[in-house]
Amino acid sequence: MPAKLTGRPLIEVRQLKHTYRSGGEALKGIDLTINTGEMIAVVGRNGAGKTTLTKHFNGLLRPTAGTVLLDGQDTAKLPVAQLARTVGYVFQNPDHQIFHERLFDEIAFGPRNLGLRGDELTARVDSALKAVDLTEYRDRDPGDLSRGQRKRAALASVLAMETAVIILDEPTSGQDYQESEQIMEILRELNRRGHTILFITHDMELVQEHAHRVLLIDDGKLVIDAPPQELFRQEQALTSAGLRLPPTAELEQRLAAFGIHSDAGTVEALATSIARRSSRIIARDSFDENCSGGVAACQ
Amino acid sequence: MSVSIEYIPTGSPVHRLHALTKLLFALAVLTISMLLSQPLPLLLLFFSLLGIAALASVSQEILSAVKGLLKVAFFLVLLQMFFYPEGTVLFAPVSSLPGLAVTDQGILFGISIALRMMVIVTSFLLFLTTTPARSTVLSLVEYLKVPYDYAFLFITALRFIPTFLEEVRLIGQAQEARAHDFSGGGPLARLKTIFPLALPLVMISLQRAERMAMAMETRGFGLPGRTYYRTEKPGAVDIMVIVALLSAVAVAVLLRF
Repeated sequence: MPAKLTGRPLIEVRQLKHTYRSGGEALKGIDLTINTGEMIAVVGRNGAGKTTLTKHFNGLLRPTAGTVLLDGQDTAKLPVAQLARTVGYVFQNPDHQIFHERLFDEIAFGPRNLGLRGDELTARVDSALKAVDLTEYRDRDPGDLSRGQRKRAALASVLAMETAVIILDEPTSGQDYQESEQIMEILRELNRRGHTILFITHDMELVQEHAHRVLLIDDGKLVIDAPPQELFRQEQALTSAGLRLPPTAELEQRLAAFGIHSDAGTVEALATSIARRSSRIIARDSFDENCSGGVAACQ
Repeated sequence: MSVSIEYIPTGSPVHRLHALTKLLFALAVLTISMLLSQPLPLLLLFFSLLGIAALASVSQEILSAVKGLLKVAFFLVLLQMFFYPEGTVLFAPVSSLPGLAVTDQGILFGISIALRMMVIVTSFLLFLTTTPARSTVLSLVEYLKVPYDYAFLFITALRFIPTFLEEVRLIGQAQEARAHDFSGGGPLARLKTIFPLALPLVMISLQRAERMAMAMETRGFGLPGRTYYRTEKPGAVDIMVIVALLSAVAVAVLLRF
């Protein structure tokens, strides 16, 4: 279970600006409140400021102007190592962190830094390994794992710290469909257990299926902060931010023009709507034939 | 103090000179400064370098480097002042130690040494800020017959410095995010805190080298008969500058001996 928090807004971002030393203004004034238990997707084109924004939540970057409060405390005044007790951060490239010769030790690195030892440490590491399905590689060299497995190992190394907030930078990039689903299922389970999850992604289908709330960042500004279904209704804003609707949402919108409405966002719900509508047009017998595939609501 | 010794593309007449001309320039200035022993000619040489920096539109960078060099120069003057025994004694700080006496020639010698150091460093800074490393290496290969493999090694090493710095930053952040503290305790403890940074860096670099080697081989690296997309030939101006430089060195040699 995540550590007890005060119940104040978990993360409060006020007029956050960040200018890199090279001169680029990456964030141009962001206001945002994140509450405990949310599952948030952060989307936007490459270079929009997604990573810059999330790196402020655990102090890896400090605001040029404005404030970021974590559980009421100003992150600018706390060392990253201390903020790491509350906020875990999984980097895009697992090779930026893996350095142990045994997977167990790699996963144990974070919890050890937090002061865990003995049975509790072992228990934490083993349960993190189990969560990412790498138990059988416990004593192997992480360097010998496939890239997908190393990516999950990096995730496990943060899971084992059991932080209240977990931030993931493109957790599913380079993963096949099954691995992606596995990772997202782990995140959902953590979220059900009370962890607050933020993930950066380019995969709009993941957003549609797994996020409760989406932050659309473009050119250093928070353009849209809404649930996925609401975001997908603003196609114009998405397109101008360099993104595209997920196929089902796009299909929904095209079908709406023909008077077929559905906003469940799933293939099944869409098929049902289409079948309902078709049933009024096509002959009853061929309709039965088409519906025998399993859409119960055809009747 | 941040001293930039990177190539600064300003497109000045100095930039348009051939890399070899500018390399020869730095070497000529080095030779001449060794032949000059009086402060005044060295000072003139130094100011003419600043003039060339202005011509090359890199004055700002050169001057900020010179500011840093002044501290070293001051230290050099002090050092020479106390340990140069010849000349008329101006004052002796410790009367029982005549070796520490400050002489007029000692001061002049110190100033010369300091000026010479500044002249040499500034001339090479001028070379580096006005010449892309790639041009230097290519001209070494083409005109001085340095084997291309070694030249390539050198260019690649330069090319990857910023990449490595970026990797170091990211690895540092990734370990900090796992509550690693890089600022721990004494020198030995500190050395230990470097492992989580150094090991991933080494591994990533090895992987990168391997991938790069494969990518290069698939693109035919190492085949004989390499040609160059850009060949830089010395122009008429280069010839004139080279002749002028060689004559200047010759004059300096004649004056000295």
